[in-house]
Amino acid sequence: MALLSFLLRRLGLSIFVFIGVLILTFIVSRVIPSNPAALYAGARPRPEQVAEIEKKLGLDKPLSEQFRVYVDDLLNGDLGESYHSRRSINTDLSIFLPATLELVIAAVLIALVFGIPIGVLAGAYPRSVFDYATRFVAIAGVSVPSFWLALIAQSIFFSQLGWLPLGSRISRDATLFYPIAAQTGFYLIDAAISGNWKAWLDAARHLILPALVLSAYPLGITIRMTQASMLEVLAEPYVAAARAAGLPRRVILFKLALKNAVMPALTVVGLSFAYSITGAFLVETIFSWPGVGKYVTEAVLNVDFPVIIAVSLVVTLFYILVNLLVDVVQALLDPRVRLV
Amino acid sequence: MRLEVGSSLWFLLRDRAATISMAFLILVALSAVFAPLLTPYASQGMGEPNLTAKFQPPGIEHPFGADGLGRDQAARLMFGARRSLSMGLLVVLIAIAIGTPLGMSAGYLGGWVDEAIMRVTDVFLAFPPLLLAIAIAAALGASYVNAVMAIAVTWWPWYARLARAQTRSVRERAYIEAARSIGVRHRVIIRRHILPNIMTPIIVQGTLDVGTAILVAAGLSFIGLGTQAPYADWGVMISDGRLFFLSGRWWMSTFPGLAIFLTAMAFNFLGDGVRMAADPRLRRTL
Amino acid sequence: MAILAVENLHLRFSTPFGAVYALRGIDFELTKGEILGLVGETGCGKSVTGRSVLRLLDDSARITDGRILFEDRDLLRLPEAAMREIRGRRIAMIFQDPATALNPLFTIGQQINDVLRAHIPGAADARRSRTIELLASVGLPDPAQMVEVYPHQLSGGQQQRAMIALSLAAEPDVIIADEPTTALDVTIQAQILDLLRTLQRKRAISVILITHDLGVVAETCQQVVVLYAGRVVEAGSATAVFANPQHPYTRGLLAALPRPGSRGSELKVIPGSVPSGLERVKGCAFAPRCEHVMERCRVNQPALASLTAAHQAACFLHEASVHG
Repeated sequence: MALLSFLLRRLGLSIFVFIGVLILTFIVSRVIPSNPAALYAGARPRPEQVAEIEKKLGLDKPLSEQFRVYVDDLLNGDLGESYHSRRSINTDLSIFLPATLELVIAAVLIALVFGIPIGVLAGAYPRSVFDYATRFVAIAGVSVPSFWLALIAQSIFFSQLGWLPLGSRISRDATLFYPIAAQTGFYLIDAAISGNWKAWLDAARHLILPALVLSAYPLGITIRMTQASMLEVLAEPYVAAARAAGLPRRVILFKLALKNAVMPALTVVGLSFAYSITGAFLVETIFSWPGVGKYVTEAVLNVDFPVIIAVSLVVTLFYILVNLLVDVVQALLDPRVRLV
Repeated sequence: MRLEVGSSLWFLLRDRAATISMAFLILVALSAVFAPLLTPYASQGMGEPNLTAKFQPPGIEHPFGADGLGRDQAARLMFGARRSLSMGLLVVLIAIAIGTPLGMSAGYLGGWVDEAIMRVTDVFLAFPPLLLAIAIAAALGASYVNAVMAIAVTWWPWYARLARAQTRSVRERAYIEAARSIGVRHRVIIRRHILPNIMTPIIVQGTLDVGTAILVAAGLSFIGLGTQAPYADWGVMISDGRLFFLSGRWWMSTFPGLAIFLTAMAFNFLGDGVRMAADPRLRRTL
Repeated sequence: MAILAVENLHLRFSTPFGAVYALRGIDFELTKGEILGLVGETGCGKSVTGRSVLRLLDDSARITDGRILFEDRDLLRLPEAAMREIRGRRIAMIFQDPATALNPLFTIGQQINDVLRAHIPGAADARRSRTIELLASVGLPDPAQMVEVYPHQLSGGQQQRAMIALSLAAEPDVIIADEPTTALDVTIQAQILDLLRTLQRKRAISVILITHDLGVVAETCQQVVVLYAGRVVEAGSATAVFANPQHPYTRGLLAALPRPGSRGSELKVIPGSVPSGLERVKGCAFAPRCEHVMERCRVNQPALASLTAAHQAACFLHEASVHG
């Protein structure tokens, strides 16, 4: 009962936030620019193009009417078209979004799989050499510019060692000789479903480097938050009580404290997702990764404003969903919310 | 009070990482401020080409090499520091200036004001960082000032939340109840009693954030929405050098990247140090 | 016969403001099968003494001198592994606030099970039936179902009962109860104290009851040890100490106690506050607050001296009265 009302409240908040996001993007695209039509028309537009767009967007009408049309289009799933390429943004995104999600999910997994155990150990052994080394690694992770790290990684693993490919999602050989049958758009999943292991391996080799680079920032965040919550938990009276009861250190650290520490640390899943997305916007171009990040950076260069706004909306929607999911999972795991 | 400041400073200096970071940041700041005096290539630092030195690798003449237009990279780095550092600092200062009063109002007044301000922060924080900044910067048009504004506008909600939480905890204290009960005006209470009490956590967060703000600003510049040619910041320099990076001309991107990396790290270590010095409960972990 | 003896215990904390001398020579003995009340105001060192026995101190605390003898072994010299065998199994602890001392993410059953598994060999279903037995013995309703319950689903009194069951799980000989009733409602307090007394008698356990409340001591304890600023100022059998308190501090504490029949009359308070422990004390630590203070009190520290076989106090007043 408590759980249900919690879920409903949380869902309501998400919907409210998304409405806010719609309003904010509308303000950014129509109210902030001095001449929205010129912005939508791209670099060096002809006057008749501007006039055409003005009419199409209804810029001569009052803002409230514009907003109605704007929301109407979005609710119908129409993200508009790029005035640069004249392609439908929906079509573009259906290709680019899975590529970015695959990359971002890989980065989040790397950050969590390494970050949580490292953070727990560093929290469990404060002032040890491991603690200091961890602090350094975590700070380095949140301080390194991802686009620079990408260049360095390429130069080491591609130019120097030759272990990994330079960029793109898959090699040309793979697309020619053992193409992946597209289903989900996630290459690793599609290749695995069809048992196309040669292509799977090829895609995985392409994924490693960009995913590692993207995971630097979320890894640092994950380590710091896990460590902090572990330190906090170890100072709780119930840990003192467990010690007073003579429980082995191993049980206290890795059973009792860990469960309590991981609970707040779950919020890092949402944050990791956000920071990986941020990284993707800067790094995809360098790795020639055909995702929304590259799509947006190209849109910036071409002054392709509708694309920028559409991507902001769609990616933010995904981020809101991730946060909703994290909160729901947290509620399911925590008996204090689950049963009242 | 004096004793507190003194002992905090002492703890900060005892934190070796924070001390080294502070020294490094002072060095970077000085080289940015006195750039025209420190380099013979001041005009190149501001963008003037020098085609005779095109792509010159690091050496005696150009310790950090020269770029595709022959400009001395050391000079570019120092002039770039002016923009990169100022972007980071301005973003944080503007964000604090917007966020703190809003957060304090929300926390102090409560009720619908609180609700309204907090729901607005929810909306801003629903965007992954950088994404909203990209959209705003694109809407405003690519420039240094617009990039700073765009990032600051996406950053203030963090300070609003922090200020609100702090204000709420301070508000319950007895002396504020007392001041209210004898009819001291809200504005006076906020300025005299609440503001000084919530500044410490805000300064700590601000110090930590400058590094991240420099990173984000460099990111915007990297994709072309920040500092515009002929000027450069560190993000632009990495972007300029990136196409040559794998073909042997490594120096153009390496040094500005290191500059961002080390500066951001220094702010993080310093922020950590300030946090521990400001909060005696954390000192044992030094 | 003493089961546990604390001898000349000195302890100091290192803080950002310098060393704090929290314990400055604590001596007392816990007689087997009795309840000993460790009394004093906040900051007098009573909780720290309790935690020292189980060596559950922060990194900032250091025991600089003294011994803690348990069955003739000095606990302070025991290796950590041997100490772990003692914690829970021989000496257990009950904490002040059961709401925070029970782990919120595990059921009561899981938490008791962990203790049993750490100390007593046996099969899982044996542990389960033992758990139910324990929960029944502390008076929790429907014990079979209590096993599956999370701490937050219990009331404060029930939580403290669960905490007591947890501390009894491995059948310890000594229980250190650190303010076990402070966080509870007055009516529940009496029930919990009652439960403690009953269990202590039935199982022949020895108890150190740490409290700031002399009323609780009067109801529950056979022995009393009064602490002030890290030293014992008065000790003895509860009857002797309550009938004839010798130290001005003990008298002050007793005078501050509300009594039935004294409605309307003024409650006495002891002026001043406990010293911080930052400075080394010269003379008697209570001197600045004492209404009978003499010149020598500010110079020399009175030693704990026997008045009768069952009563000691550390005060020059009593010395004067004996000799003068």
